[in-house]
Amino acid sequence: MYAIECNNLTHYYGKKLVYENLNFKVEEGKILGLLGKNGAGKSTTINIMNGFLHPYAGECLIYGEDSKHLTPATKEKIGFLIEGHVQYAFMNVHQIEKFYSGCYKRWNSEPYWELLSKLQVTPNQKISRMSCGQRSQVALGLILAQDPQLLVLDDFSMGLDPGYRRLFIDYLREYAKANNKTVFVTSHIIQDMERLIDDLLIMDYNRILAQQPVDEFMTKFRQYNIILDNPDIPFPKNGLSVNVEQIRAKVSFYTYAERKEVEGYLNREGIPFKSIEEINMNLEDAFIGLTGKY
Amino acid sequence: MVKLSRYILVAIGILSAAVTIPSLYWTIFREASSVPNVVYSRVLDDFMMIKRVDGVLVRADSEGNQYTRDEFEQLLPVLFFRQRLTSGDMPDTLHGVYMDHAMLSKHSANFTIRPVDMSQPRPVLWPLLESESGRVDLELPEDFFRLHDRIEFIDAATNKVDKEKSALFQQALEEGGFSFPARLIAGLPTDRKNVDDGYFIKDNRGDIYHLKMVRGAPYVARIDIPEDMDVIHIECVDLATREFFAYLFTDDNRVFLLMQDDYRLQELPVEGYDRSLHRLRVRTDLLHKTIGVIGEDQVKVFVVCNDYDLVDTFHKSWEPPHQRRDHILFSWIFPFQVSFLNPDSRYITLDVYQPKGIAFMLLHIVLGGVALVLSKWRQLPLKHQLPDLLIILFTGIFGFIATQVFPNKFYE
Amino acid sequence: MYKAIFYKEWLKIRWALMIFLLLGVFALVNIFLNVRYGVRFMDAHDYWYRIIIQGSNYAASLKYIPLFAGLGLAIAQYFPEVLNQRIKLTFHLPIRENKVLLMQQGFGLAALIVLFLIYLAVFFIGSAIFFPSEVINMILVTIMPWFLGGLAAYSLVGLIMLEPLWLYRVLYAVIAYGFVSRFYIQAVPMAYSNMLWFFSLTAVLTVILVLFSGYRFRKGEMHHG
Repeated sequence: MYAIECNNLTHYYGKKLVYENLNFKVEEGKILGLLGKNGAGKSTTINIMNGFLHPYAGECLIYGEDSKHLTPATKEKIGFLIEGHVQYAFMNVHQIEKFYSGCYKRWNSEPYWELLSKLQVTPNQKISRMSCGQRSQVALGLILAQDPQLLVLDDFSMGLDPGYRRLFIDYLREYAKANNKTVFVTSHIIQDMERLIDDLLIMDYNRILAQQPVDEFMTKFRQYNIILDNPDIPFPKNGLSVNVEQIRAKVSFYTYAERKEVEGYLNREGIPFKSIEEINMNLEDAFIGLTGKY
Repeated sequence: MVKLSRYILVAIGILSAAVTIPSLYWTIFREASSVPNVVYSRVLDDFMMIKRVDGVLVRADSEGNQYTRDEFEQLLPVLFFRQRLTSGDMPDTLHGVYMDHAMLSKHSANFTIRPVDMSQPRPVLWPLLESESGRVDLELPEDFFRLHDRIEFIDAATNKVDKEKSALFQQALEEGGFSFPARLIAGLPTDRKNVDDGYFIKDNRGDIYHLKMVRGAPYVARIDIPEDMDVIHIECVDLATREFFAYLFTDDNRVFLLMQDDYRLQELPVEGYDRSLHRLRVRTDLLHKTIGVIGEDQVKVFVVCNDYDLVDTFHKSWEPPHQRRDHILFSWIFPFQVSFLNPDSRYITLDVYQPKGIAFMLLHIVLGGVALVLSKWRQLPLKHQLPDLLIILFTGIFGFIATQVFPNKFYE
Repeated sequence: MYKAIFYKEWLKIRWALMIFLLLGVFALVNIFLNVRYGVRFMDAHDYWYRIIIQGSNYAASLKYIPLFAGLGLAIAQYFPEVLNQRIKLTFHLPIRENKVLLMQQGFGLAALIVLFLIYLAVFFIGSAIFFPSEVINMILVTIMPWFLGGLAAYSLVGLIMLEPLWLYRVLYAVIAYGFVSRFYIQAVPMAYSNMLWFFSLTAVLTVILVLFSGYRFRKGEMHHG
């Protein structure tokens, strides 16, 4: 059984298509990142997965259970971090721990207090009066203390300082791998994400751009910088090309093809070039290369 | 449970719509209707009336002859005696009866009772005034009495029962054969009247008692009424002539005067009177009493002379409300109207008014069709919309609004 | 689980509850100071006469306090849930969504009823000093719809606040206004006496209405454009 299994998910907002026939599965113990620009449908997917939105068509199964009607037992297995680290901000750190500890049978407050010990918060400080970074640690600590099997984190990096983001990511990966947890994260900030995720799912407006293990993606997706002889000959945007960005004679060519294939391709298409050079990309570069800058 | 919550909401929506929308309709479309004011002229020995027609007051006799205001009032000198005395054309006698200002004034009295007067909360305690204090003005007492399984006087300043006074009156009532508790208490609990007559009380057996306080002592008298007479309402009056104490209304819509003279009952001619529908108006003057039974679509008038012999009767009816244009238009739009405020009661009631006929069904079917089209357009499965369609067929515009505001979107 | 939910609700409403407790008790104390003045320093029987015969209600200034208490408590309870859609957290708890809503609603309602019982206890104690049972009963029947209206308003505000779409919030608010105003019709004392059953029944039925908005939220009504 998969932790998450979405089959033929289709959704519209009014008449506007969000996506059609989205399929993906998350194996237990894996960390999957759903990456995409703002508005690409990440939150829609999260909402459907958590039962806050009934999809137009298709289904989303969480541990085999239709997400439209999650049972309490299944919900107990899911740790859910809402976009913006939303929590009951009218409580202080002790009150919220007291509240949640009464809700979950497997509650273990140790990781919560461990994370909080690193923060400069007073015991009576309400969550509403904390910084964004501090709130993210509270929200994460609560999810860890819940000890769920599946962690669903919606855009957790939004609003975080680089330090907090790193802290969050490293702690999360360490925790997930040590305890064999499944993690589903969404993000539109790609920086540092390769430190966290095993598999990625890159989404653009109403379609999937990539769906594979991060390692595979990073080795197979390539960028070549090509200097053209004649910038006036139109550069083909089909064939091997996934994305092309051209500034006069300088072309950034994104493809899954190897160097030899690209050279052959350019010769066949009749594009003379001065040089071709493969560029090393990190995940963020690759993401931008894949989705384009706009 | 969620579905139930929706149906409760739809019900609340229907109720709210059925209260507010028709009342809005009436403020816009209500047509004025005028009930003639019928009086009796001893000069003509005939009925005369004033009626508002298209905003203008029309004065006429029963034949339809119209009169100016002056002519009209001259034919009704007893009714308009003050104006006639000022104008100097007041006759000294009429039918051999001598008339002067003092006598006319003393005998002139108007009494009106509407359905609403009989449907309102009654006082929970009563002040028993001193009837013969020897002082010029009446004074309200310091205490109020209750009359349940016993009579008790409660002092207002201390909120304590005056045991001594209570025992005194308790004994008097018991000796008078009064059966506790009181079913009905009627009186004029005010000091702004000529004379205090205390209270008329219907006891547990249905007998009527007269209770008052005379120089601190209880006065209790049992009033003989026929065995089969069920008095359900008593309205006391304060007449200068001291002719009678009160109007008695019975269960079978008869009306009696409780005469001062030996508590004799004098029945009034009120044929066709229904206390829940009609206004009863009794106009007393020096020469006779004019009794009007006034409804929405008819007026009946009975004239009796001073010894209560019937002199003349008058009956006029006109088109009932449901034949008026505003009511007909209403019946095409609304299946019913709900009001919590009822002109015939001071209680809050759940009053449902239904127009005659089923003209509204046409609109119901149209609205059902609209709802059907809307649900098709929204791609909602038809079979889930059936309860809504039924609701619309029965409650029309109200159900349509309610089901749209609280839409049925239960997919599974 | 019950304890945890009730704890959360308590954290949300305790200040509002305290404020309305003080407000109501203050209003009642003020009422009875006025009554005391009327009975002790004016003519007691005149004062009684105005109440018993002329239908003046010595507790009239209490009229909208239960309504405001109901509104205030509902806002204190639901505003923090609606802000940033925190209700998602509540729905995500390992408990059925309808059940958690009813638990919240039940707790708030219980708190409101306790508040009202305290008001009524103060009302009784004060009234018993100055008036016989008939008068207390008469005024009680007169003010009862105001309390029932407070309960109905409480439930309807929950419905309105949880509703995900603004258009529908406005429509609900219009209907809720029309409905709740029926509890506050200007009328003679005891006018509601024959209809208390109806108003009690409708006030009770409103308790579960919040489920409707909860359902619309979970179905993602706000995402359908």
